[in-house]
Amino acid sequence: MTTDQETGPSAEQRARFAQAWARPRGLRRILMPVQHKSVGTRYMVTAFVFFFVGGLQALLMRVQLAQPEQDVLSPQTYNELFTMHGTTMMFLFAVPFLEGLAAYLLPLMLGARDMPFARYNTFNYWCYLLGGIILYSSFVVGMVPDAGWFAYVPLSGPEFADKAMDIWLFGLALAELAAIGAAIEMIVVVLAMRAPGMSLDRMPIFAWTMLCVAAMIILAFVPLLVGSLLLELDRNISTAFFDTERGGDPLLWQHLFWIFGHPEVYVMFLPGAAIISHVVPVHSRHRLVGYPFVVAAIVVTAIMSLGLWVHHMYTTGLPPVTLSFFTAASMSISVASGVQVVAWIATLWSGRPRLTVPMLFSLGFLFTFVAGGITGVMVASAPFDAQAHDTYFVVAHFHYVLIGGMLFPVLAGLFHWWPKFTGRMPSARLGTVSFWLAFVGFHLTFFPMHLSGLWGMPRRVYTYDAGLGVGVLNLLSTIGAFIFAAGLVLTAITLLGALRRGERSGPDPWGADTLEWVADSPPASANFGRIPVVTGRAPLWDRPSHDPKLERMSAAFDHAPQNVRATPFTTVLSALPNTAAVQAGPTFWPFLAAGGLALAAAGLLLESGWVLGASVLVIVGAFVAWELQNERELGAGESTEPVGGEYLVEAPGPLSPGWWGAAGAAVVLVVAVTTVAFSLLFLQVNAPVWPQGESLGLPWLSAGTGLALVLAISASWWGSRQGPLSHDAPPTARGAHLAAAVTSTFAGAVALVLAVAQWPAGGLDHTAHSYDSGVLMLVSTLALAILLGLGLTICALLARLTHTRDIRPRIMLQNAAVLWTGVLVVWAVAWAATDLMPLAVV
Amino acid sequence: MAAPEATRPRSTRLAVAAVLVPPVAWVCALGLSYVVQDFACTAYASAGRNPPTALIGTAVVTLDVVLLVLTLAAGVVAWRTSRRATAGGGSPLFGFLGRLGLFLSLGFAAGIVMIAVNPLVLEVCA
Repeated sequence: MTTDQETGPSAEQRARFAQAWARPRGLRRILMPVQHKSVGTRYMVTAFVFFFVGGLQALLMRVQLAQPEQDVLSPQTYNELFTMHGTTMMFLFAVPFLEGLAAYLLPLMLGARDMPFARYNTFNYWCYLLGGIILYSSFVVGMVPDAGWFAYVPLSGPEFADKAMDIWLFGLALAELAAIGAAIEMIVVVLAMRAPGMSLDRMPIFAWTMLCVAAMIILAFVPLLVGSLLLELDRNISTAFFDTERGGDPLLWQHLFWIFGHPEVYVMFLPGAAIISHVVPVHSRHRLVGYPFVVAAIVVTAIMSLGLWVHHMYTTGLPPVTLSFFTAASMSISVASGVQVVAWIATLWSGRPRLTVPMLFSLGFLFTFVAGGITGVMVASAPFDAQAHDTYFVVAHFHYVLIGGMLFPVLAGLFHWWPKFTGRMPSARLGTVSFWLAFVGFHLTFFPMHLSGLWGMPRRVYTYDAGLGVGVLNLLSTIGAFIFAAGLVLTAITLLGALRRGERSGPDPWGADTLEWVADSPPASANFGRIPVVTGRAPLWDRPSHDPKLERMSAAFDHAPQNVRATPFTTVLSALPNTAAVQAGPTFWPFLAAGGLALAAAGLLLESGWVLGASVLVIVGAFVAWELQNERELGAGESTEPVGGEYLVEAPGPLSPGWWGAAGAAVVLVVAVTTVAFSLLFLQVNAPVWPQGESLGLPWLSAGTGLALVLAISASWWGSRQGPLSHDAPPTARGAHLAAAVTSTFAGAVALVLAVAQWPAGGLDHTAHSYDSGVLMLVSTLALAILLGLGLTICALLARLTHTRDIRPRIMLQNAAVLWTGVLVVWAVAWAATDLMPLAVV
Repeated sequence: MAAPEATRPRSTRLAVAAVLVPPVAWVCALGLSYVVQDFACTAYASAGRNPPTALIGTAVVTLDVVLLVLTLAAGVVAWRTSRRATAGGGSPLFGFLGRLGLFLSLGFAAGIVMIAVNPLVLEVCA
């Protein structure tokens, strides 16, 4: 790694560069920051606040269970607490914390200056926060969700759950939207914004992991979002997805939930493991042993986690062969997890380990996670699971995996990176005490649950009979829970205390090896004045070698550009210099857009048309203002000139972030419509008759929609090929851009009208049968996809009309063509599900 | 001067494909095995008819065998990529991609075998 700063920009240039990256001050600092460190810190702090609230709920439940037949909590309150505890820990703590950590660390580790879509990153944070607030508003209005964090139908359906369930669903939907958005950010920053020279084989394990995790989030969280929507429709407009009387099936919810729920476990564990893959080598003073094996293990674990969902449904009466497919997958994944464990042990064995606080938490992780992994192999076996299902054995198992696999690594990571975040060292003495309290408390809490579960204590029940003989075990668990809580509180005190009293740390107090340790502690707003060049897997441990091509890019970005925020965009495989990606500055609009979405949720909950109407105005206004600000800034100053005279500020295709964003949005839409189609296929094979009445059968309308979409793609694509790759296109090319954008917009509008017209023309009744409900859902999904395509095309139109950078409309039209292609796939899947699938009769 | 083999576009595409094919093949093996077996058996049961179990079982195993062959072929390509990168003093990136593809191929091939054997030893539509 080289960061040669002997010759460089003048003091004035450095000052202008610092000004371009200046953080907002005063009140603006609360609502406007978009820089990845601000957003990452907010994610992590908010997540930990939710963590302590969720922990308090757990303590209340442990008090209730300390003795048999207690009535400290009523059954209803107990149901509410275990629902909110699970929901909080899974949706509001674990995943958002890790996304926050990734938002903070990834640009620093990869040598970038910010996340690719900084404003969208902020928007995601606000969605998450407002989703959490909506969920917790249930306590204020006295309607707390009580159907469990899994919300099984029919318990969560219209028959048995009140408005509390709607609050849960809306809060969750916002948090899920945030997670999916964060996943797109992570994929782009890892694949295309690495420092020059950081080829895939030199990429930090944390980056490999977050790349895989982001893919998992897109493939697994979208089905939950779809499932939540189906449940909300069943609850509020009487669709029939989960109603057996009308061709629905409650088991569909379990499929959709666990298609999300099982990968979610690995979305938490894999980043935890990645933290360990950074902490163990640094604190053992030895490179990670078996880097390619570890990368392969991460990929295998991530992919296989997508195929394990049925092992949560072993007791639902599925056929033996079906169970055996998923048992095979569940057993396979344990081998991949074991590979990582062997790599860490080999690294410890080969190095000179230091018993620092991060290392203590890492060792605690190893011990606990391996124990949880062993019980995981046990419950992966269908016959054993049939015995242990819904007992405290399962509670013990997943807390070993989640706390061992995620919380201990997170605490290791916090102590490891705290000097980087704050510039201060936390107290080693207090940290050690907090580790032992947490470790002993954890095992005292959860180890006895294995026994109480095997002895027959069911989970999710507010009390137990004294004759069951598990009173002492439960008392031990309760005592352990308080010791565990004391350890976590002491951890918080240690870290927060270091903010004021900790020793100053310098940039690299541990002698670590990755790029974040090159930056100041805490890092400056732009992270790196001069972009580092990477020539090895451990840039700070390897002897740097010189590559003129890479050095040229580093020099071009040395405290530059100065009138616009920008960072290098590099090739996917080799991280060779490519173009410059513009990075957005502070703004208020993402907050307003997220607030509009929360307002829409409130309007739906209050059943107020006025609030809903106002929310639509806020959302549309915020997005339009956001886009106008983007175009205004991109038309300014240096953004028309190549950085260093060589690196274009944006270029067509995958050479700029927008293309990746459009491709990501298209993939999300396709996953969503495929989920709906899978749901209908599942219902069809389980129904004696499908559909009950006529199928949609409107081939001309459907074909017309498809043709209009093909026209939208063609026009956008044609427009994106007109004019040179510079900012001074001839008038004919400008006219072509305008004509293409207008044609594409018109074709999209026609497609929207035709798609929506299918519903009234089909004469179906969404309350009659689940097929009819499914058609409504598919038509709505298609309409939403078309609206997104129209939105992006109108942005291209605005880009053409508002500024002089001629390359910008070209790029925007190409992005629109990518998104329209995704919409065409959505149309094809929707058509197959409504018209072709019903023809398959046995 | 010609580019080293490992940096030519065709070699690059092959090296990347060798990394991507095994995971995709495993996902297809699990997904298609589940959909073909479970959905077909359920559809027949819902219609009150006897399912053609031999046909369903054969279809599942055939699908899995095809996907297994694809996965192993990707492994061979990966192994050759790795060997060329090591022997010819080529790019370390391609050596890494080759090794990664090989590990993934072996891991996912084992996973596909574990899925494929089930219809051979269990009753398909029990």
